[in-house]
Amino acid sequence: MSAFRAVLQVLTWPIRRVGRARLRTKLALSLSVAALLPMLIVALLASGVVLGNLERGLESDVERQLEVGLNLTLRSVERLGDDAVRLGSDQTLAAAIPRGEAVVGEVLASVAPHLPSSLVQVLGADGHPVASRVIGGDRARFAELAVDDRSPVVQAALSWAARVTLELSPSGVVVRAAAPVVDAALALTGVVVVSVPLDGDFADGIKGALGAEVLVGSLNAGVATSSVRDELGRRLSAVQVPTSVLRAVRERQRPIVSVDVAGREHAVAWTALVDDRGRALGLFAVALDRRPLLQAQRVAFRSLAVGAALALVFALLLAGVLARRVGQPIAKLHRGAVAIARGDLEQTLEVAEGDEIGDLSVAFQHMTSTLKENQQRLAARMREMVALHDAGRAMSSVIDLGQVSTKIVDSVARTFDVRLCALFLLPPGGGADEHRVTVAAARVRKTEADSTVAAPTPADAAALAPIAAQVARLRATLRVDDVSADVRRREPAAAAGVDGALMAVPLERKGLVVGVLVVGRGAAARPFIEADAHLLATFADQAAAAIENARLYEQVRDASEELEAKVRLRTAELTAINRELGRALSELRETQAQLVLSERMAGLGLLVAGVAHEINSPSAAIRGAVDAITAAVGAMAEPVRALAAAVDDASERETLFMVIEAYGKELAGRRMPTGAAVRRAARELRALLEPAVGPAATDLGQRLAEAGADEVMVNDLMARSPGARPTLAYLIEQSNLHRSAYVIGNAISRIQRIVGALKAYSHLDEEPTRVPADLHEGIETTLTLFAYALRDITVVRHFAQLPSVPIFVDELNQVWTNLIQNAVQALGGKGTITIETERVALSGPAPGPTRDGVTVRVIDDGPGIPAEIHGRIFEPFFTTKPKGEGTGLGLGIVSTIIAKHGGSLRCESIPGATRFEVWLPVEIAAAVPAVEPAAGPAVVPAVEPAVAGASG
Amino acid sequence: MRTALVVGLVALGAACDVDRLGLSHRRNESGRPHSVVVGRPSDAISLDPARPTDNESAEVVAQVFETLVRYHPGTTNVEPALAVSWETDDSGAVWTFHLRDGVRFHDGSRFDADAVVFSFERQRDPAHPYHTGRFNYWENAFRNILRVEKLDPLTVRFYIATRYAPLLANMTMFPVSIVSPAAVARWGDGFAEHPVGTGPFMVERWDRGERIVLGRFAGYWGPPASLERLVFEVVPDARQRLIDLESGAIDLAVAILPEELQFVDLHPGLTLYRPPTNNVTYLAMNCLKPPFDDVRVRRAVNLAINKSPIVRLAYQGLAIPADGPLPPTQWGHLAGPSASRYAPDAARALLAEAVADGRLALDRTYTLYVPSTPRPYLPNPERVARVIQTNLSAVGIRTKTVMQPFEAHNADTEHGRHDLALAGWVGDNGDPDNYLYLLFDKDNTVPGLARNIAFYRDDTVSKLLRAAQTVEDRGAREALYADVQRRLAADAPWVPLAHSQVAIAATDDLDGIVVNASGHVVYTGLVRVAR
Repeated sequence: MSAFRAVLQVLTWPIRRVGRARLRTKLALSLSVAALLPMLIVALLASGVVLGNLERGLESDVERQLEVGLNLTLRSVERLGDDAVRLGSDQTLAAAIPRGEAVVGEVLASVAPHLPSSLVQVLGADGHPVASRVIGGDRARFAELAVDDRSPVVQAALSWAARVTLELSPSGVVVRAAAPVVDAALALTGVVVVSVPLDGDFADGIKGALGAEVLVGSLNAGVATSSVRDELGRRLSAVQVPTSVLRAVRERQRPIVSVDVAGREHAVAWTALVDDRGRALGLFAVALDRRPLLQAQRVAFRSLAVGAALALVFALLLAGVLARRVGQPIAKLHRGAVAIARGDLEQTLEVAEGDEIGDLSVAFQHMTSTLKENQQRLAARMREMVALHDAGRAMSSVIDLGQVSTKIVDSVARTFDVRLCALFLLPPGGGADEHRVTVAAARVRKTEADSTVAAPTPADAAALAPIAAQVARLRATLRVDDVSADVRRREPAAAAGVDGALMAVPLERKGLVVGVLVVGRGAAARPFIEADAHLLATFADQAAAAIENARLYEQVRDASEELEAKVRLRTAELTAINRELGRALSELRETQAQLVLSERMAGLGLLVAGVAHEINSPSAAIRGAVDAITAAVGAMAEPVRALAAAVDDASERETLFMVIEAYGKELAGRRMPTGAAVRRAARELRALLEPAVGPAATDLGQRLAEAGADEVMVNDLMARSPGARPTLAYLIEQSNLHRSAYVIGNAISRIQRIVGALKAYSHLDEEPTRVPADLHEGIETTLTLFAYALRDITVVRHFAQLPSVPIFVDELNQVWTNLIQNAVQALGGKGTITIETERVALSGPAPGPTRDGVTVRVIDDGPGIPAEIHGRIFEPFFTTKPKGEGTGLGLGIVSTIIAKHGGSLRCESIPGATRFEVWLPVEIAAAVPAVEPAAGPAVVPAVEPAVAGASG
Repeated sequence: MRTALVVGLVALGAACDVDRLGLSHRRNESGRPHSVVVGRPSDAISLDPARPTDNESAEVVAQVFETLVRYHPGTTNVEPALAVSWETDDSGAVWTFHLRDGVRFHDGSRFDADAVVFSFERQRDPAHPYHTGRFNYWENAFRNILRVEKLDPLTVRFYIATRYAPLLANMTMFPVSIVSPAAVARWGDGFAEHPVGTGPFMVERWDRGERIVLGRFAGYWGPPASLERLVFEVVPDARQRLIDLESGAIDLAVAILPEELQFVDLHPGLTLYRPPTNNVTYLAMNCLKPPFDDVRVRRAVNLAINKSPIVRLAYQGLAIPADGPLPPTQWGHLAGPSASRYAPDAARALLAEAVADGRLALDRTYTLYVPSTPRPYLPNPERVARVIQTNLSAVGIRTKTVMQPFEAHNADTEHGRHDLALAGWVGDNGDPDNYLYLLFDKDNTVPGLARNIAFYRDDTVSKLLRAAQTVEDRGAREALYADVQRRLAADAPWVPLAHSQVAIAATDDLDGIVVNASGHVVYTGLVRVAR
C-alpha cells in the first residue's frame, strides 16, 4: 500500500509541481494541453485509420487479385479441357486415327491455330501413341510432358470420360486434359491429350490478363517461378517459398506475406492448386508491389509530424498571449485580496479592464467598503448584545416580581446611561388607566450634573405615570429628543427630574401590555438614537417575559397551596371509606365460609343419597334371604322326620344326612342354571323320578332342576336312600339354606365396604392434618361412593406408580368428588371418564428449581366447555348447572383446596375431551405459595368453541 | 485539472488501439457465421405445400413444413416425424397415426389431430371450405385416401380404398405437409406467400424473384437447426452462381452445369457434391408391337447399347449407368440383375435367331420417339438418341427418330404409337412401388393414360407388385421386388440407361451437407467450420 502510494507520489509529481506554479504558467500549460491533446488523438486516430486502411486495402487487393487470378487459371485449365473435348469430337481426327500418324499430324496442324501453346498427343483406341505435336513455343518447354496409356487421364478417356487435371511431371506441375476421340455415333477411335506446364510462360499468360505479378510452382518442391522480370528482362524464377507459407497452403489457407521479389517488397497471396481428386499439388500466388503503400506511409508520417510541430508552436504562442492578458488583472486582484486578508480595508483597486475581470474589481471594491461598514455595525451590535445577554441572565435569575423589576431597571439604567429609569406595571388582566399604572421599580443616577433641574428620587418616577399609561394604551414606542420642548409631557417629566431626551416602550407579552419601561436623560445629555429604541424594545421583550414568569410563579405557588388542602381533606374521606370496606370484606368472608359449608353439605346430600341406595339393596337382599331361610327351615322338618323313620341304622342315617348336606352345599355353590337348562333338566329328572315317586315327579323334578341338581347326583342319592322323596326334598331345602346364607354374607360385605369408604372419605376418625397418603386410594374411595352415578359410565384408569403425597385427606377427597361429579354431569350420565396419574416435575409458581410432584387428570369425553365461559369456570358462584343442582362453588373450592396444598389446577377443553389436571407437590414447600383462587390456575382456551357444556 | 489530464491520457491510450474501435474489417472472415445463402436458378412459385410441383418450391416447403412421417436424411427409410407411431388394422385399409404431443406451429397455434384432418381434407373434400384452386398432387398420389378423421386430439385415422403398403412412403411427400389451419383461415389463398408450418425454419421474408429468407424457428420440437438464417437467393446464370460462390456472396450453389464440374473440382476453395438422385432414364420397347414382342429382340437391344458414351459424353459425367429401373439409393434396388453388358456380337446372334423365325425384318425401319425438350434425367436427348441409333444399326436394326416437344412426346407414347421411346421417371416418394407398379404393371397400359409405355403385361409381375403393395413388412416387400426385378431383367421390356445426378457446389467451410431422397439438401444439419 505504501509502495503504491510512493509510486503515485512520483507519478503525480509533475502535476503537483505545476499545481504550485503561478496561475499564468498553469493557464499557459493547460491551454496548450487542451489544444494539443485532441489534436494528437485525432492525428493518431487518423494516421492509424489511414495506414491501417492502406495496409488492409493492399491485403484485400492482393486477396481479390488472387481470387481473380485463380479463377483465370482455372478457367484456362477448363478451357484446355474444352479444347481436348472439342478435339476429341472432331470427326476428321476420329477418321484420321485409323489412317496413321501422318494423317493425324496433318489434322493436328490444321487445328493448331485454334489451340493454346501446348503439347497435343493422340493415342489409338487401344492406347498406343499415334501422333504428338508441340503447338506454339519451343520444344524444350514440353520436353518431359508426354504421357502414355498408363496415365489415369488416358485411362479415363479410353472409357469415354473427358478429364482435365493437374499432374506432377519431372519438370514440375502440368495441366493435363484428355478426351475420348469419338465419331458421330460416339464410337471411340482414340484419345487426345493436351498438356501445358505450369511455368513462367503460363504465369505470363495469367499476368497479361490479371495485370499483377503471378507466381506458380510445385508445392512439393517448394519452389515457384514468376512472371516478374528484372531490369535486364531476366525472369525471376526459382523463388524459394517460405515453409510457413507451404504449411499454410497445405492446410488450404490463403496466407499473405511480404516477400522481397527482385529487390522490391511485395505483398504476396498464396493458394494451393489441386488435382481432380482434391490433392494439393501446385502453388499459385499473386504479388502486389508494396512500394506505393510504403510511400504513402512515409508521406502520411511526414505530414503528421510537421503538422504536429506547427500546431505545438502555435498553441504555445497563443497560450502565452492569452495567459498574459488574463494573468495581469488577476494578479492585481490577487494583491488586493491578500491586503484585505491582512485586514487592510482601505485598500483600493484600479482595474480599467471592461471585461469580467474589470467587473470583478468593481465588485471587489464595493465588497470592501460594505465589509468595512458592516464591521463597524457589527461591533456596536456586539456591545448591545453583551448588555442584553447580561440583563437577560440577571432578570431570569430571580423569580420574585419585585426583584425582577429591580433587576430590569438596574440593567436598563446601566446600559443606556440615563438619569432616570422606571418600570411601570399594569395590573394583570390589562387596563391602562393612569391611576392603575404603578411604579414597580425605578432607578436614578444622582451624581450626574447634566441638567439644570434637581436630581430626582425614585419616588419622583410616579410622576411619569400619565406618559406610561399613554404608551401602554398606544402600544408604541415613544421617543422624544427634548421633553422640555413638548408641552404635554414637559411637566410630568420635569416632576420626575427629566428635562432632556425621553423614551418609553410598552412591555408586551402574548398580545397584552404588562408594563411600560421609561428612561429619561438630562438636558445636557445626547438624545436617544434609533438603535437605542431597538435595544430598549429588546429589553422590554425580555423584561416582559421575566415579569410574566414571576407572575406565573406566584399563581402556581397559590394553586399548589390550595391543592394540598384538598388532598388532606380527601385522605380523611378515604380512610373512612377504607374502614367501611374492611368491615364489608370480613362480612363477605363469613358469607363465603358459609357458602363453602353449604356446598359441602350439598355434596354430602348427594353422597348420602347414593350411600342410602347402596345400603338399601344389600339390606333388601338380606331380608329376602332371611325369609328364604325361615321357609327352608320350616320345610325341612318333614323330610328329616321321614328319613329318620326310614333309616334305622344311626351311622347309616348319619352318613346319608352328611351326603345330602354335602350335595346341598355343592348345589348352593353352583351357578344358577338358565331357564332353558332348567326346563331340560326338569324333563330328564321327571323321567328319572317317575318310577319312584309317581305323579310328584313333575313338581320334584322342576324344583331339583331349579336348584341345579343333575341326574348323577339324583341317581346317587336315590341309590343311597330308601325314600327318594324326602331325600330329594331335604336336598332342595339344604341348597336353599346355603344359598341364602351366601346372599346374606355378600350383602353384609357390600355394606361394610360402603361404610369403610364413607369412613375413609370423611376421615371421621382422624385429625384434620396433613398425612402422607396414596392418592389412588382417595380416588378409588370416591369412585366407590359414586358407583351408583357411574353405572352407565365407563371409568378408565391409567395409574402410574406414585409416591405418597402429604395431603389433607378429606379435603382432597372433596376435590376428586367435585371433579368426578363435574365429569358425570358433563357426560349426562353416559360416556367415558379417564383418570390418569403421572409423576411430573414442575417449576412451581415461584421462580426456582423444578419441584417433584404428581399429576392427576380427570378427562371426560363430553361436549366440552364453551370458549366464552372458559375463563370464568374457577370463579366462585359461577355455574352452568340448572338452579338447584349446584351452588357454583365447586371448582372454586377445588382450586382453593389445591392452592392450599401448593399445587396447581389446569383445565383444557375441546369437544370430546375436557381435561382437568391437578398437580400436587410431593414435598411441602417451606412457605406454601398462596394461589389466589380468583386469579386461579391457568386455563388453556379451547381450540374451538363447543356447542354446549356443563362443567364447573 | 488533474482529472482532465488523466482522462485525456486514457483516451489517448484507447485511441491508439484502432482495431478496437471496430474500424477493422477482414474480407475472408465470413460476415455470417450462423447463416447460409443458397444460390439457385429460379425462385419458388408457391409455398403452400399442397400446390406447387416445382423443385424450388418443394425445397423451401421442406424446410418450413413437416409431414407425419419422413425419410431418415440421406436414405429412404421411413422414420417418425409429426406422428410418433402408427398401425394398420388387419384389412390394411385403416391406418391410425398417433401424433407428437407439444408441437406448435410458427404462429404459436397447437399442432393436433384437427390440423392433420384439415391438411388432408382441404385437398380431398370438394365441400371443404378451403378446397380452392388446384391440388396438383392429390389426384396422382393420394386419391386412395377416402377419409381422414380425428379420434382424439392426438390420434387420427385414415381410411384407404384398399390395402396399400406404399401409403407410408406417400406420407413423406411434401404435398401432405401439415399446415396451420389458423394461418390458412387467416390468409386464404395468400397462405402460399405466408406459409406457417411446424418445420425447423420459418419464412421471414420473401422478395419475389429475388430471395426467400428463412429464420430458425425457436419453438421447434426437435433438435434446433444449427443455422439461424437460411437464404435462398435467385441467381439465374450458372456461371454467375459460381462467381458468387467464389467471392463468398453465396455459400452453396445448386444446379452446377456439367461443363463447370471440372472448374469446381479443381478449385481449392470449393467442394463438389454429386448426390445420387431419384430417377431413371430408359429406352422403352413397345411389347405390343413386333418385333419387340419377342423377348430375344428385346434382350438383343439391351446387349447392343453401349451406356458408357451415353453417361460420359451425353450426360457429361453427371450420371451413372443404370442396371435396372431402381436407382441404387432406392431401397429394394437389386444390384445388377440385368448386367449392363455391351455385347454387340451376342446381340447379333440373338437377332439372327429372330430373323430365322421370321419375327424380325431387318429391312424395316422402326420409330424411336425422343423428346426434344431436355429433362432433368435427360439433359441431351438428341445425343443419347444418336448413340442408340448408331448402336442399333450396328446390330442391324434401323431406326428413325421422332423428335417432338415433351407434351406431344408424352401423348404419343401414352397411346403406344412408338416402337421405341426414350423416357425417364423421377421417383415421387422413395418407395419402389412408385417405380415398379407405375412403370411395369399391366394396370398402367391403358392407351392414352399409360405410364407403362413398354406396354409390358405380365400377370406374374402384376401379382407380385400387388402383393408387395399389401404387405407391410419391408423384408417381405424387398423379396417381392427383387423377384420383380429379376423377371424384368429376363423379359427386358426396357433398356435402363442412366440415373442422372445433380451437382451442388459449396464453399469449403460448410459441413454436414446431406441430400435427401428427393435431391434436396437437408439444411438443418448444415454447419460452418473454421478453416
